[in-house]
Amino acid sequence: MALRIVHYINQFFGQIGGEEKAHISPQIEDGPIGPGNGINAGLGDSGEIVKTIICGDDYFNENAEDAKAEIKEVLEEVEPDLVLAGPAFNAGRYGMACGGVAELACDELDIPVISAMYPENPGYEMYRNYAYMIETSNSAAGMREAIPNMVKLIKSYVKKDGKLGRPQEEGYMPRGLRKNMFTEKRGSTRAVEMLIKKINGEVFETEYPMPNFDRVAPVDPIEDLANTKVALVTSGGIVPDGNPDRVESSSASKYGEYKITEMGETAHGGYDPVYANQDPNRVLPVDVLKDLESEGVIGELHEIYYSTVGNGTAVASSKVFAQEIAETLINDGVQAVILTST
Amino acid sequence: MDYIVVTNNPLVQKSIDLSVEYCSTLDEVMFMTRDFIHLGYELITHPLSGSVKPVQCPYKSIVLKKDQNNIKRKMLDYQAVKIIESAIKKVEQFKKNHIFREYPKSVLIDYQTIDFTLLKSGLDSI
Amino acid sequence: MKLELGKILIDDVKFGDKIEVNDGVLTVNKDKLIEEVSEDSRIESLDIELAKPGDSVRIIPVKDVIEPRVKVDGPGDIFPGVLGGEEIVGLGRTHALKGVGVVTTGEIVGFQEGIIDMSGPGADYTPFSSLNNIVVTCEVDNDLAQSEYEEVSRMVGFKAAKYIGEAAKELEPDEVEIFEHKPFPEAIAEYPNLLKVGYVYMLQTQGLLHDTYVYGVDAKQILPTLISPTEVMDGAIVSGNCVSACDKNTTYVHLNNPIIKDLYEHHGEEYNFMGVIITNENVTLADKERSSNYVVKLAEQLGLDAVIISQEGFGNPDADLIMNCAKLEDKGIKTVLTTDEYAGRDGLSQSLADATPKADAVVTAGNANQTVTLPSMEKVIGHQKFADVIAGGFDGSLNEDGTITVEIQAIIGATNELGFGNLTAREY
Repeated sequence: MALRIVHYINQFFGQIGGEEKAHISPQIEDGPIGPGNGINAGLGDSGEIVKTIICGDDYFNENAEDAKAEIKEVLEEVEPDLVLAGPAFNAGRYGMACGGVAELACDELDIPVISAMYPENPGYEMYRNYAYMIETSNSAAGMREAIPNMVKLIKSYVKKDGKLGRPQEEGYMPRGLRKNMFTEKRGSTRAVEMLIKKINGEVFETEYPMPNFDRVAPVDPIEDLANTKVALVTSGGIVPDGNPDRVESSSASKYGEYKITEMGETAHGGYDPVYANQDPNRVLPVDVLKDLESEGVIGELHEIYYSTVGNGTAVASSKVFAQEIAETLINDGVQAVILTST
Repeated sequence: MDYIVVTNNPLVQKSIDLSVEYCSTLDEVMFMTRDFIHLGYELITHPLSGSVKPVQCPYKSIVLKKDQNNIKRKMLDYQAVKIIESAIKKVEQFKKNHIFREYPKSVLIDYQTIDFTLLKSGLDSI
Repeated sequence: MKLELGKILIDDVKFGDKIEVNDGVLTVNKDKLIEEVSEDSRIESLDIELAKPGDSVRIIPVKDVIEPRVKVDGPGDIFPGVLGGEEIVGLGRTHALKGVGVVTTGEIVGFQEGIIDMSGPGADYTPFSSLNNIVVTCEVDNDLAQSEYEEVSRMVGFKAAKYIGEAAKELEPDEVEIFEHKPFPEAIAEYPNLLKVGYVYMLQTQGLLHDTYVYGVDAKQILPTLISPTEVMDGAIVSGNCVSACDKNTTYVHLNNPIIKDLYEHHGEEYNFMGVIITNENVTLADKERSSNYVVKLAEQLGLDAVIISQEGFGNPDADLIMNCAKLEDKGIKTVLTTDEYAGRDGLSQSLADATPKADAVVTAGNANQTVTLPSMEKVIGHQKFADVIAGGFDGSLNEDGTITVEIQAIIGATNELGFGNLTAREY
């Protein structure tokens, strides 16, 4: 059976333009475009990209409802057997758009989706339930591997009539989906065999990996708050008016260092900014801490605050930001930090 | 004794001597328990006691202990927070697949009895 | 403690004039059996029916399944402290009628549960569909408290299994297995170079319909303790747990604990299987802390290097499982956990209500929320109307064409956490 496929790509891979074209609304083209050409050629008799949807990353992320409605209309009309999205590599907004399309196709229209991106792309973490996502490198330089890997997965999908095997055997990233199956050996036998491997220091595979832990052990409470220098750090995107450092509204690649007297607006694209813009103290409570400082509850409020946007920002980036910020704060004699999020 | 029972089970409300915070829904029981934990109360019984799954069994009774020292010091028991938060998540999950229906009164009474005996099994050991 | 377990293989069961076994066929005198088990004055009516593998029969709601066994030689009796006296069991010789199950059903509470389909897709999910089942349906006075009804039904099952088991007393077994549990100094001396392995056996102990008895003692009142694997085979642990059909340990599964059996398989070769620690799953956090601390203490006293920990139930016991695991691993005692999952019908939710990164070796018996549609059966033993209010069933689950759609948590033993079955789950 040859699959009829619709391919979703962004403005850049759709050969319309770079950041300056990120605002374009969905455009529909016949046949494959950009990376779709390679995929289509690789598929041979297994399937064909019949339509390509090209949409600007900003448009999708900032007008999600409209974008989805327009894409839904196309999918309903074409009724494809499969939707492809990406590869998005480590482009956060593109990955989020691919994920959004996957959610729409898989959840609302019951159309299976194959995508590809870098494991740290927030689109994977957010939308992994909805698509079979191939792992790619973190930049478009990985296109040469990504395309054959996608083709391979699509072919396997056709061959197995949609019943793809486990992530490791098929080459997609785990979807966080638990599926029942009958095994040859009963559970107790598997447990004893696992025990033997564990005590002998051999490699074994747990059948239920515990959920990811990224817990930070709480430190000891502050004993003498009245003599403690406190700083404020936020992922709520509070920046001076005009966002001088251009901190991105999502998938931030940087953080800003500002004076607490310079709070102006939020750069955050993931919540309604009206109330934060009206009064940034709602996100970064400088006013209350100033009060506490004058009441003597805290020793001192650090005059510098640090701010980034948590919206879809990769954990790895956040860790880098935090390490740098922590070092600077320690050097400035700060003993405690209040983190605010949104 | 400084124990309190957070419950939406009418049988518990009328059958025990301890002070009772009576709620109208299972959700309310869960959230009130969480709030008490954040106020420094000690969580005594596990919020997912019983093998009848939450939501399917509409009743839940949870015992907490009012420890003045902890409350004053606002000591937070992180393990209890973890337990109640996972329990709330599980309740959400079971709600998703549950279609509300009117249980016959006899079934409601059975559920009340089961919840009550689970509670008693906890009270017996404190 | 050395126990010879003689197995008499049964491939058919029928009613007849007297109770006997001939050429693998067990004959039971129905009236006599009813008379034997009906002496409790609280019983209003009691009936016995047969359900065989492949029959178009659904048994619902099942309370317990029990294997008939008899003590042939050695002290004590089957189900000590419950039916037998207070003698310690696990020595001598015991005979078991393999391929037979005594199944109890009863309308103890309105939301009861527990399906055994003898054929069709549901049969694949329950290990008891492959048994020749002698089903005891017992009714009591409507005014009797649930706790009393549960007790009546539980005791009827044990009595029936014991009575039927007696038929195996004089028989020559088809197969004899020998299990030995030596005094600890001897056990250690026997394999001084092997690592010492134990089994932490968690018992459901939360309250009414959630209880387990050890020598007749309600296990929520015990401190964790040591038990010989052979005592378990003689019925020292019995189930009073009627809730959560898929992952409750029926008495049948206790008697045939598969972890004990499989640990013996490699004993003396891969490790030294030292013994079993039983512990409970009480509802208070203080009891959990105490019991898990005590488990660790016993494991250290035995000098164990590694253990398998099995769970019974969902939610509250997840906390015990994780505590046992984390505390043992902290002491350098390696753990393998056996559990099941409640990941939602879509398989997307977190499976357990607790977690620790230390639990790096977990065996799962599958996602109990998966749904299955069961065809209608020619005969229903018990009460089909309960499918609607059964755990894992939902409105409309009893369809008009007689099929029922349920989560597999309604099926007895579907996701048994002792690893009795072959169902499992993996991440996709």
